[in-house]
Amino acid sequence: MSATINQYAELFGNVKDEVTAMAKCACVSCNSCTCSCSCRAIPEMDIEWEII
Amino acid sequence: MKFSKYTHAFSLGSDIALYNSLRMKPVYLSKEKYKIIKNLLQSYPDNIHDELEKEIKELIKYKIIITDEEVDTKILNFVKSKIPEPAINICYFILSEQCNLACKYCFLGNNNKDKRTMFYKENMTKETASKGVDYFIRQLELQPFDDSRKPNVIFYGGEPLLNFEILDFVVCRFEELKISHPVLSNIEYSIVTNGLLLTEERLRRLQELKVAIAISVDGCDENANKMRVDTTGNTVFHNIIKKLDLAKSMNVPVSLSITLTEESIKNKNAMLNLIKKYDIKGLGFNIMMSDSNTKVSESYNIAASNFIIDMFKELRKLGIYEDRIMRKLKSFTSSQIYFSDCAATSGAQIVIAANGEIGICHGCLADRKYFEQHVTNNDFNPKENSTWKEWSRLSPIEKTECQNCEALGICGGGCPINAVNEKEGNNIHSIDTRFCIHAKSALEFFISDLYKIISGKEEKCQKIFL
Repeated sequence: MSATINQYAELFGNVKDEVTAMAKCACVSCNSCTCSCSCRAIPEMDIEWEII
Repeated sequence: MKFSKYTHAFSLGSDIALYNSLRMKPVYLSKEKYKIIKNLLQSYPDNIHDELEKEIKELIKYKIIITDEEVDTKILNFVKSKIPEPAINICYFILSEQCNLACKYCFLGNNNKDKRTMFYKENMTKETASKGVDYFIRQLELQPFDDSRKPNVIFYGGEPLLNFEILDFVVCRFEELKISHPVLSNIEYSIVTNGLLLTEERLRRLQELKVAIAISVDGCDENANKMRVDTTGNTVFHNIIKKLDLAKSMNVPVSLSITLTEESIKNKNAMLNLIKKYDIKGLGFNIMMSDSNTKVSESYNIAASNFIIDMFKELRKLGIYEDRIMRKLKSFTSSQIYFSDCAATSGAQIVIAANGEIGICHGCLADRKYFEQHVTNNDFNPKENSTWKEWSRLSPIEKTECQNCEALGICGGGCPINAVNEKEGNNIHSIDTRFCIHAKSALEFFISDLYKIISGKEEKCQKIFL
């Protein structure tokens, strides 16, 4: 069995979408602070998986 | 039919999770059924066993079982084809390369007397900042217009508050230019600061300018923050707390950037109390990095990774956003490959140093490695630049040594600078092994947590051989 969308959503607990006060680069010692994937649109791949 | 080479197995009590690290959809089944399927695959069947038809169809759908020798190659090529080309979306303004602190773990090198002398002594001038604004806009306009894009400006240092005037100038300038440059419509600003130079006036002004504030702190008490020192070696935690108190009294929201020291990971409750006390809605935990003199231990990396997960479990109940886990969780839940954990390693960022030199990574500010551009250079195009092109292919998806990793899809790689510092002879293409521990532990947590949601059972999750 695999999870439903709602079950995946439960992994987030009570966290809503990105908080406005959250600085994108929330670090001083870098540690890969800026998440490029959240700043750039990565193409959706779902439909194309079906073709492979 | 056979298991994909990207398939991994995780034991969960009497059940098992099978997961393709690139397709990223775990399928859970009993160990009993798994054994039957495994034996079936070893007998090279021509057709599907009737009783297990439903399970096998699902395993094929999520590329856990493949029906064709070529599928694994096709999967990898497909995923690689989605790695974005370099295109600038993030701009660091290093308002000052000087810092009023000398934190002992500073990855920029402010903890090192010799490296401190390498930083540019003057603050960024208005002239340089203005050229930097134009430069960033030019980069944004190299790309096809996309009204959903969110360009990001990050004020950084050294300590950026040493040059507040220019921060104000830069934001105002971008805001003025929004009318004539639609690419700036959704621009966002943030500052990463040690907070010590915040005043009531500056907090108010940052709020007016809509600059998101991230204050760096290492934990909840002096002991946890003993590595956060000024240039004379004195700890500054008590002063940071005063600034947090000030922000709270003014209802100015701040986020926290918390570098996990050996001390700070010893007390989860105290960390939670600090977060709750200041009504923090968002934060990011950082795992310390090695530098040329100090190598971080594996035991610390494991402890820090586990700490982040344990804290996440508590923070999500409170609705508090912890970025380190959330970026991986978003990838996992959407089954969307996380190519780069850092904008530098996707060729998406520029760093404008205080003197106008431009590089790809602020970790190289001291020695100016990879700082080959300048704000006066009008013909820079990251798609054609060898440095940006090289850095944009640092995703673990591209690395042979990462192909067997279960966390391949959610990792994003770590920090190339840490990879360089981890071992003699390493380069930016080497693996940041500190990050491997974090990515794998996060994946195990997601798989076991999802299993708990589906089945109601809490089981220890352990990777096993297929």
